[in-house]
Amino acid sequence: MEWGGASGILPFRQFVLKVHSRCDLACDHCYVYEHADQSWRGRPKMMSSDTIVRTAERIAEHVRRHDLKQILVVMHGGEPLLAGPDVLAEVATELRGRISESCDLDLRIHTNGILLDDRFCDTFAAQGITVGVSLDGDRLANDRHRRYADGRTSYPQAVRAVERLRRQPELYAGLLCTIDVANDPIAVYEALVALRPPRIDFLLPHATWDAPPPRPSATAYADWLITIFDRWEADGRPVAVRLFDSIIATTWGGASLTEAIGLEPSNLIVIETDGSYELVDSLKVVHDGAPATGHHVANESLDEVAAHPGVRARQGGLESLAAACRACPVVTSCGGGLYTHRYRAGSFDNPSVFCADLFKLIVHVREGKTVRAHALPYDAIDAIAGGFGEARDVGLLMESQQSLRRALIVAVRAKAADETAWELLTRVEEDRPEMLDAVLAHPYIRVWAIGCLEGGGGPAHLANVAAAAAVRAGLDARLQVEVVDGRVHLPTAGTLTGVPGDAATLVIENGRVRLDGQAATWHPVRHLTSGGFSVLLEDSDPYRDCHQWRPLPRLSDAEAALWQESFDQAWQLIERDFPSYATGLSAGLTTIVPLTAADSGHDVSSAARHAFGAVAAALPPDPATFALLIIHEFQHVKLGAVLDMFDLYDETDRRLFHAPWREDLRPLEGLLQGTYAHLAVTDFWRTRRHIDPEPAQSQFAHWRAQTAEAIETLAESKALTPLGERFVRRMRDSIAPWLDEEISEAAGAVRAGG
Amino acid sequence: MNTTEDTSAQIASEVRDLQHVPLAQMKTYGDVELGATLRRLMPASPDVARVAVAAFNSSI
Repeated sequence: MEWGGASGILPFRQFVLKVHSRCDLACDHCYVYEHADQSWRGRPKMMSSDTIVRTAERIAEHVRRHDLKQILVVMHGGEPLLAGPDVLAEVATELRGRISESCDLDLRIHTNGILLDDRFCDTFAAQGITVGVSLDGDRLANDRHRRYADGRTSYPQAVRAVERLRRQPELYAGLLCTIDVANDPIAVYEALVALRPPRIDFLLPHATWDAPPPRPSATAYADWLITIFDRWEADGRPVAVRLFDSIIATTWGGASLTEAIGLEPSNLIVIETDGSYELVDSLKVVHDGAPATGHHVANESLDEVAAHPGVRARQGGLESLAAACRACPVVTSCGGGLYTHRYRAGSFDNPSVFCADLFKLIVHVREGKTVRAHALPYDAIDAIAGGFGEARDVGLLMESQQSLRRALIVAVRAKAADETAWELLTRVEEDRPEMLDAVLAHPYIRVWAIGCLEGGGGPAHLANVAAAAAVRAGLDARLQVEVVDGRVHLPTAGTLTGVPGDAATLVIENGRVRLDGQAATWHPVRHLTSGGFSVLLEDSDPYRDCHQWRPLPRLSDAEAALWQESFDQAWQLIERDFPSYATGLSAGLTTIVPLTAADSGHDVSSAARHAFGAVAAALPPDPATFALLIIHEFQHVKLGAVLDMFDLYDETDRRLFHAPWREDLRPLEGLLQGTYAHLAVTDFWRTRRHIDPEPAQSQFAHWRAQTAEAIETLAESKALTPLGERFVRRMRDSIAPWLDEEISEAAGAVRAGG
Repeated sequence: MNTTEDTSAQIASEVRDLQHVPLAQMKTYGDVELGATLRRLMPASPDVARVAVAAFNSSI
């Protein structure tokens, strides 16, 4: 949220334009015509061209002044379709012509659908306008209120409008249903879901303590909504429901998706057909003239309106709520309910007239209906922050990584052209869930998925992931898979080589892999082993090229044998001399990626933030160097996983800091990562000096001084979160006793000389 | 600054535990939980909807 301007106003981001003030229906529950405010009687029926232009100018001015990147404009009524397609197009044209291209204009219309025809739909398609339709459920429910003035039903016309939108799904925004507890909730739900809307919103009828809603029982509205919620859950949440999603989101500390609940400030303003600025529409039920501001587009800017006490009253968050609300255990979800619903005898300083309903509903949704969060015990954080971490601690990081990868897979699924790969994944999970877990644990699945979601690649690799899981699970399957550079890579299973084109049909039968109608050579994955420990030797995955250094192409058998020998010796050394690191490594290191050696002859190694579990390196010259590179890079892997879970520093802090081991200045994350890695490097040389005194003594002296200096830079940065401060203190606790350890005079001299 | 450190408790992440939620039911958990998890990886992703203010009640 951005508060800006000289007066500290919150800029408006939602604009409701009353393009037509009359309606072709006579719904007896309508807040515009049937409640206290009767201002519609004195307003022009339709927004004039002059008012449209002035309104567009005001909004554009506001966007420019506050550099807004996204706004929502809703064409509303009355019934906005009565304005006709030409006027609605004029509104869109005036807005789009005046608002900077750097601002994303989300333009919508909210209608009863009665007049919706091809002309309107063509206009909406041309102008990028999406459509929400009011529908109260099945015919019986809808007919209870939503009728013509002569009592005729409007249901067939409304459903016909929705069916028309379903044929142009890019226009179909969703359905709004005003609740009447006299209606059968399941019949309402089923009728709405049958129309396949992208989203449904259930709206509590507008009421106040002075004009309370019909209430056959103490929590009739909660009971009605809970019936639907339970069915919605049992159905697998087939459609987004804004009210339920908002309760779940706020339960987790997220933002509400509707002003009906939640603590978010309102940034919405209504502009009437005559150009008057009005407060939120629902205030029409409070008293005649309640929404009025006395301001007009011809006279006042939106900044002036934003300073109006009526606008500010809905931006106060928790502090602005009644005392009973502030003390309520569900206030973060409820937020006191819709502002209008709090009104009693001239004051809004009350709980909602729906308080008992909201409380019961929120408690019901929260109880066992939401997914728990990953957590780290503080002793695990302390152990990792100290530079180490037992198998249990690293295992907790791995578990959270698995959830992240599962979330990514679901997100990628939405981009896939068909469901074949997804269906295979779910089939594997039913038969051999441990095999699906093993494949999803592959580090480069996340690299690919992130790239896909950020627009850097396609979802086709999802089929390769599914195929790999099927191969490992021993399931038969046939599906089209991705080919990259002549290879079909099935992560953690193997690679088919010699494949032309971008796609091929893969056949898996009895655990064997072939291509349909094409010859290809199958190369199963190879592993590096030492004793009972094994990691994947990853030299084929097309998504492994994320380590700054170029990965080596597939190794020959002789090259692989060299890696095996080197890894075996390095791991034996780690287990013998660095048991404090071996336990975490054995739990979290899954993959080694061979990199191309540097021309300079320097050691080359890397860890990538999105490739948890992988360490990449050029073949080191000796086992000790290999051990050092693994320990060093796995520090980055661990810290990356911690950062995936928690904020350790202020990401908006753009300052750069001195890192003793580099000539350039580093952002805070870079300094933190480097310091944490060098904490282990220091410890490595600290131990090695007893085995191989030189250069270990000098290296120890060098790195402990630099790491200690960097730790103090971090501690003094004032950019750390409380958890980040704790993390850095643990790093300091580890290095502090090492600073007192004696080193040889020669080593100290090397340090003194830089 | 004096800081009291709790060594027995744990700290919860925004990352939801989806390990035991069957993929076939993942849609059940909707964009809300998945969004909270994905925000940890891609805070600025267009796939992650963020609403910082109260959204208009009478429109979809």
